[in-house]
Amino acid sequence: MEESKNQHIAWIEDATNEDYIVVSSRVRIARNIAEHPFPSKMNVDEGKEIRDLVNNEFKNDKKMRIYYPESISAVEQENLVEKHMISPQFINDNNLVKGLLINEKGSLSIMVNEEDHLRIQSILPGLNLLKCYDEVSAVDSYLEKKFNYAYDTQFGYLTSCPTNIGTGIRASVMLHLPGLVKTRNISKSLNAIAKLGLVARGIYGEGSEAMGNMFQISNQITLGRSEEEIIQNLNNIVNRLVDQERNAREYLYKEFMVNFEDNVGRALGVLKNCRKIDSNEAMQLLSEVRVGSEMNVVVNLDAAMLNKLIHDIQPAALQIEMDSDLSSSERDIARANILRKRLKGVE
Amino acid sequence: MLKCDKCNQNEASVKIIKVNNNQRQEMYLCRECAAKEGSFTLTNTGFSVSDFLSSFMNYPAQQQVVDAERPELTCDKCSMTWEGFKKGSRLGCAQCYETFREKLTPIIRQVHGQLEHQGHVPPLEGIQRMQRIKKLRESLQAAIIDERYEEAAKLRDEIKLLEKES
Repeated sequence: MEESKNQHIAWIEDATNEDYIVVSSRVRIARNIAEHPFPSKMNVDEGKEIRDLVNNEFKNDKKMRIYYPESISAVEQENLVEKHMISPQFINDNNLVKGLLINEKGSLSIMVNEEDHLRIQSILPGLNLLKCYDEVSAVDSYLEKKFNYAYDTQFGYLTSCPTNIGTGIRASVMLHLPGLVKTRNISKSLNAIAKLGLVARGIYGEGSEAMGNMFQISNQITLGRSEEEIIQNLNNIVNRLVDQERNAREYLYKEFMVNFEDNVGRALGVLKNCRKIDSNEAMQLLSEVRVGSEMNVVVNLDAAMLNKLIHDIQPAALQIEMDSDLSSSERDIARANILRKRLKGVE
Repeated sequence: MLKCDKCNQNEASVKIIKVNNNQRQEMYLCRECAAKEGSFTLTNTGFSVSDFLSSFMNYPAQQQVVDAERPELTCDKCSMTWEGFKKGSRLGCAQCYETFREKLTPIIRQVHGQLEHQGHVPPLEGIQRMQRIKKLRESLQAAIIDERYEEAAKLRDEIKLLEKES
């Protein structure tokens, strides 16, 4: 059986040097099969039936890997959450039989029996919402021919929670916005987009904390608009945000050039030499180095390499790498070791 | 100084609200009378909500009213109740949307601001529309042959509308 830790993850490893500010794009749709109750009212047998039905559709597809979540260790499941292949809700123990399929590239994942029978997701590096939607749509159309989806003429596709009905689509983008944070414009920008039907939150960290200046923007409304409208709306707003971010960076560089370069330089220095470092500080310093790389100031690391670094210093990733349970301070040491190793030789 | 509703002597420091279906009763009591009043415990920071709820369950008046009430709306496919939905914020099956359509509509309007699906539809919908158009065309032919021109005009308009949608 394939190990999930060997799974290639497209948004991390295939990032190009266009993908510094917009780190990744994601589109997921929620679907339920008509004749069966939703996961909240399903018993174990029904859950297994659905899981087997879905797995059956892909058993001859060489590009899809079928995982059995009950056989995946807790730490590997956490790692899959860190890689954005599955949601945190998916690993909540609720006695249901769950299914998980991920394609070879790690750009497409299907969760079976999370909050709905099917959560089909595509996640790609950079700003690529349309491509994500195409990937998801292809799987959706294929399965739609085989299954009878729960659908209502008025409410559209039916989901367990009324907040997902209609298109069942959640489109989101992960953005690196240190310029807006430092020029204290981030709240203004995020409040503005909230008025346009989007919701923003920090990705790493608790609640809406934005560790490493990483933010996720997604649509909130799923009913009453077409999929294309929702995606186009998000796309346009992200482009505006990126422009605002670039302007903020240019301003900071022009006005405070020495400070700007100093921040990047010091960040690189600490990352290359520290012996223990907590995730907060590590994410902050990696953010500085990412800005420097994007603007070719002081340092120039590949976006893919930076993505991998951010991911490999997350808690579950560290525990897998060290192959043992680690206390918080042991993780801080392991984190520093990885950083020193990867950044050795970088000028 | 607000005096206790019960003993009328001590200063009232506790406000108790009792709700029995549509009846709401407010009382202002001192700590001693409040403690005697019901099966809830006073802590330094005030009441715990669950204490209130459990004391309501014990009231005989509440029991009678509950029995007399008509049975709660239930989905006959998955036995989800409206109360169950309010508690968990999740529906049980596709049929629930039909069962609770009226009650769900204002909530859905509030969440999405819209009430009509505008996106991708299942392919069967398209096939059903084609079949309907075909049937309407047959009726249209028959109406023309019978010289029922007003009816024919209505059918023609309906066909146009359906064709525009696809």
